[in-house]
Amino acid sequence: MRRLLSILSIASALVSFADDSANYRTWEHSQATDQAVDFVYGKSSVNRFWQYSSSLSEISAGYQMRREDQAAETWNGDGLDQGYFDAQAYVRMGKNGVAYAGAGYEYGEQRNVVWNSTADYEMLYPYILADSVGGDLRREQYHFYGGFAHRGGEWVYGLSGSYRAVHSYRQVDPRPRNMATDLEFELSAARILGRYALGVAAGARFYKQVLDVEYFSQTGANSTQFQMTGLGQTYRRFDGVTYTETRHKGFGFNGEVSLLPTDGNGLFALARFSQLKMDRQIHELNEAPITRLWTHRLSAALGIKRQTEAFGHALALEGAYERRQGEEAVVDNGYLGSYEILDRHTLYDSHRYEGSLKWALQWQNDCHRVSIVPQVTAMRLVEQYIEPWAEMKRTEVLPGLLIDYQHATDAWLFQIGAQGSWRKNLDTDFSVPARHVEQEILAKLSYDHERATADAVLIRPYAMAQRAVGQGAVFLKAEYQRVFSDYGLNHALHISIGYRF
Amino acid sequence: MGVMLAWGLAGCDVDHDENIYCEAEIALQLPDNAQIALLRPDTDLEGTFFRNLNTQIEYTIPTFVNNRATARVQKGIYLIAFEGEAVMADGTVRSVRLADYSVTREAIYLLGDYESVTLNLSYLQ
Repeated sequence: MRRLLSILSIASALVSFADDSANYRTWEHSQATDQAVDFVYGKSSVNRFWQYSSSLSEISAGYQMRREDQAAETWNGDGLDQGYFDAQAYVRMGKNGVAYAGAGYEYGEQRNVVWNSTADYEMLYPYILADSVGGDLRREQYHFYGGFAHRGGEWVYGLSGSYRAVHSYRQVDPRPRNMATDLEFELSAARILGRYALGVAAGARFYKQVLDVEYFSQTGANSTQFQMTGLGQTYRRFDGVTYTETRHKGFGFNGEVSLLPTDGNGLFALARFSQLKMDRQIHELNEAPITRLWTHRLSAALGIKRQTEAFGHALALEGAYERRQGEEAVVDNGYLGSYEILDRHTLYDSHRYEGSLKWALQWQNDCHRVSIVPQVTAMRLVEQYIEPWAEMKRTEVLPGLLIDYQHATDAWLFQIGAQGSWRKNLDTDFSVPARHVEQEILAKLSYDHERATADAVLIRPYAMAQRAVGQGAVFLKAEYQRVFSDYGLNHALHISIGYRF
Repeated sequence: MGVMLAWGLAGCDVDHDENIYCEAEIALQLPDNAQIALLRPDTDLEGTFFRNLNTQIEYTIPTFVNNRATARVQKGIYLIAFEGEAVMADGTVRSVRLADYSVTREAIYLLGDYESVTLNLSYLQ
């Protein structure tokens, strides 16, 4: 590999590019070995103090497209057209401070969204409102985040926050209208111990969603809204077209412990726990919380990174366990109009196990960089509904490989690469008795399960070109994704243009 | 990591210490306190049901012997209605109806691990 890089350098007669240029700083911020261990920088503001040695800011605008002959996930539709604007900055403030921030806006349309009238489906599943008709859904989202970390002696302190707001709607019957807000805060601190920093972080989350589904047709409603409760079951008393105003309210907290090398070479470790409690209330029932979802997540990761000027490698092992337990309320007869909650029973239970092993190998000289990243991911999901009994299980493994090439000068930075992976299903079980499930819901459940357990091959080539302009650099990036399976065409395109400085 | 995996694998089975079922003892009472030796509700009638108000799941109405029957149902509030031929203790056969608990405001509450309820029957003839 070193001989290849030497040949490329001679052939292009290149010289090193200025280390304060936008191209150089982009070069520093896009190393595969750093990305392999970036699990430690995800949620903790204090750890970001050591993430990069240089500042880099970026503004961009882009377009995303997705088309599927048969929807991979019915709740997500079979197509997407979305434009966005995004800005993000990582700023080093001398030797003792780091600040980072971002803001973004997305606007687009999801095509043929069926069996989902609720925003943030994956967070709220299985307690969502759904119908069999669906349709195209307009969606816009704002997000803001920011944080800083400051060093005082042998301690580093950090604080961060983020805010996200979603608005989605449809202009033909059935007409859902969603407004959701998601607010998070985090506090963290780290103690420098020799070459390492031992950190702790704690955070809180507040979530709210207001959903109304209306029917404007003079001939009446063209669908039934189902209060889904998991594995084909619904809260039948409140199915229909009367109770179509729901409110989701959630509160969560999280904590983590981490270890990382302050010079970027060495051992990385993380353990994190989070809990989210989410109530679904029916507005027409005096906000009676008919369901409550508890989501607990435990994740851990271990990595080791060695980086020299010419060669680097990073090995990362990550694992996560998520448990969702859903409680359904026993609502009284409502004779006095108060709809008291008499009791709650846990009827939905799911366990999700994930693990991944990634090995990033990186060769570089002053102007060429080649990265090869083999990885394998495994996932097992077990879902159960207690009464009437139903169970769905699946296990899959995804081996994959990423190959990336970057070439940089003072004026230009080029990047080209491709990722391929293969989803192989190892085990599947679908035990949902038809007796207590609506036929159309059972058909949907069966399709979703077949789709999720089908083997597939994913290929994702991408390319970027960046040209220095003034104090910064303009870039153009394109990425294409194609999934090969027995379900026809499934592809996506993402293009963006932006300015880094 | 090993601890996490062990916890996850140990939790693979359904873990609910809570009992979601109620063992309900249902007693029937006639206006004249007559004893019923045997009563099998007529399940072919459309107006016969034993239904959880919230889940809308229907349960089989049990056979009553000496005015009593037991049923194991998911805890909740229930609507119940039926008609049937009751063999009385003196050997006569009378048509009876249970209708007072068929509407939402009269639903019966079966929320504990064990519940005992008395329901009022009426004679049809």
